[in-house]
Amino acid sequence: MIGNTMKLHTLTAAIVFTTMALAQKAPQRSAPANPRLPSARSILDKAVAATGGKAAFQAIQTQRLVGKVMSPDIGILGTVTAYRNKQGQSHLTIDIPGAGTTVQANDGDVEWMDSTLTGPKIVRVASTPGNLLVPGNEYMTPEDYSKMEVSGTDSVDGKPCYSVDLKVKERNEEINACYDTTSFLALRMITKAGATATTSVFSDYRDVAGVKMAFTVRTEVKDRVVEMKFESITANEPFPPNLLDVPDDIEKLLQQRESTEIREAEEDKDRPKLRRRPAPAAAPGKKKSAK
Amino acid sequence: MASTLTAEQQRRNLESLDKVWSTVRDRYWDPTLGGVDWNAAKQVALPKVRTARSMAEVRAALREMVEKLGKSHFAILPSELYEGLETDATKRASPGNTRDGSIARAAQPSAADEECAVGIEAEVVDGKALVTSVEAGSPAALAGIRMGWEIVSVEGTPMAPLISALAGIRLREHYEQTFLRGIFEGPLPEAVQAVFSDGAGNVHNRTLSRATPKGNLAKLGYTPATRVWLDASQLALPGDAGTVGYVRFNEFMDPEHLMPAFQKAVRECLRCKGFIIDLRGNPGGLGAMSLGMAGWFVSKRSRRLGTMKEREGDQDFTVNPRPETFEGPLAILVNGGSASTSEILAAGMQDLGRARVFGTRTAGAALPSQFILLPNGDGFQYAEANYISRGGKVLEGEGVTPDVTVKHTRESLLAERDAFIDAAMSWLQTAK
Repeated sequence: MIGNTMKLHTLTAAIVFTTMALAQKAPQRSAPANPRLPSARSILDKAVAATGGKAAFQAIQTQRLVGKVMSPDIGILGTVTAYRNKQGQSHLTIDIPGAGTTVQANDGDVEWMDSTLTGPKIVRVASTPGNLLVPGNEYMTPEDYSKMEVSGTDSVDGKPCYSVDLKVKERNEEINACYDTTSFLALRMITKAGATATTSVFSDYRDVAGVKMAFTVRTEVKDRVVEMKFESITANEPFPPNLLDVPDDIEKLLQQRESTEIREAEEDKDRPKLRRRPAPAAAPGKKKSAK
Repeated sequence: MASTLTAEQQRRNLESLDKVWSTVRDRYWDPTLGGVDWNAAKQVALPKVRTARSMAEVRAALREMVEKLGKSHFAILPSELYEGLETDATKRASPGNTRDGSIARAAQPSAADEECAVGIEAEVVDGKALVTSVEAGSPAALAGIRMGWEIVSVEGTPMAPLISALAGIRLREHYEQTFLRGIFEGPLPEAVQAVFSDGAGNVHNRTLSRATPKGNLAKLGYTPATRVWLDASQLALPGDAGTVGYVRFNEFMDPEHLMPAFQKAVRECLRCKGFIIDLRGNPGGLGAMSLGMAGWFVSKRSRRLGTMKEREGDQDFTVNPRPETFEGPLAILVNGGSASTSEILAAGMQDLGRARVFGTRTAGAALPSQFILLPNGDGFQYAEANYISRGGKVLEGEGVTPDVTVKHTRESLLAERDAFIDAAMSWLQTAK
């Protein structure tokens, strides 16, 4: 039995958004672990500059990524198409022949997924309208980080890099990023969420709307390697019409959930109630179709 | 006998030994490997691989090593199964291929050299190999083969001694069914000679042509290509008591075709009196498909079928309820050929109190596994997790114990009755 296809989907989803979050952080302060090394702040400032600068990132309203996803160890090869906008709305499709298609989307009010294997599922529902919108790291302010330290030097695929430890506030997420000592492009990020560490290695940087983006991302979780090779990454194209429309099955699940929540809330007055915008406002590139 | 292996192949075989050994060391869910002295196992295998004169000897040595773990879902798969699949490993194994790309062409199932069949399903009932079903329109049906007939011999080889030889082995029922399926399989256009005995003891000699098996040819990654089919129907309860949905499929694979077909079968029967999922002889496949199927029968959220225990932690198999679910009684049919994902689905639904399980104890071979390619081009299937049912039971080695034990009898088969379906239908007639 193959128990990991579902995990692969989750994994590949993570990779895409790691890629899109590649724009560098700009922490408020840094505390060099070794006085001979540059400060974390200076490394991150150079990384931001190397990738095109904060202004270039700020100018990117939408991204579209199209490419291949593969897991060479187990012989999996598929395609990936992803959209994300500045507000944090996203839509990801992964198609793997033999395993089917997985779609995962977040319009800010509801995050859902639908998989050939497991069926439709509501991942999260906003407790207040739009609060599922988390801007990409490129749009974060320094206040979003509670820790930034240079831990030393390392190497990735033979390239020397500065190792910087970061902690993102309110995400229970620790990141170790390694920046090329010459180009200051990110070569690797190790993200720890709970007990699971995800290692992403970035290469094949190319210019997209004035920003350098990695067209190849190799991610390893629990010794399993998934590689993404993007054929194109484009910026500032409007989302396809109706891209973020909630599918009928998800809408039905939401309605069922609301009635269940109301019933349960009546039984337990202290339980937080589900809140969802009755009529979500159209976001850039988003057009709601009539239902 | 002189070695048929080149120096390069011998080198790849030693690398493959290392790969198998280190994969088990690093990925097996129990870091102690159940107390098996893994270093010693390698020292036993090493000289055998080093001096092997054929790939068969290499595979035997590797199999012997992984069998020391005493678990299901460990297999060495011949490279011939991967012909047409171009990978780094197969390119290395086939010098001269210079195309780039780690997976130049993945998951391309091929019908070439496919084993063809005659349309007979058979099981051992009271020590005899009996025909349990004949596929409509198949060569066997056209030759007049009937349910309940005993398979006396195939290609001149008597069945009785072979069946006796399987008695007492682990996964006996699974291997019996696999064996009885395989004896009729072969390439086109060859026919197969078989002798049958009917209920009255009359002997029937038949020459059975073979045909392409039913179903879609499907594969995923380094799993071998397989034909996947799903049969769905609605069965009438006696006395106009309503209808029962019935679905049977041979593997949890090819989700692009299987899941929509399963969905259609359930959706067309949402108001049926009951539903039967027939997992007999189903060896499993993609574990996640059990969650998608269970979602048609479980309306409450956050219900899990069980938990996969890996070295790094646990992963729950949680059901995603569909917007519409079948709320009536559900029967699941199993036998000793039901393994892996079949057991996960049956055990989980049984533990949830959502299904009544009919049949015989399942295979007890329910370890989540992966398929990887070895440096010599062979495949390696290895278990990477243990699986615990919702009720806390380890399925490996134990299997699922049915709520109602049902076995075929020759009498019922000769009467063209399926005792498993009859038992489920009898329960569904009165079940709420």
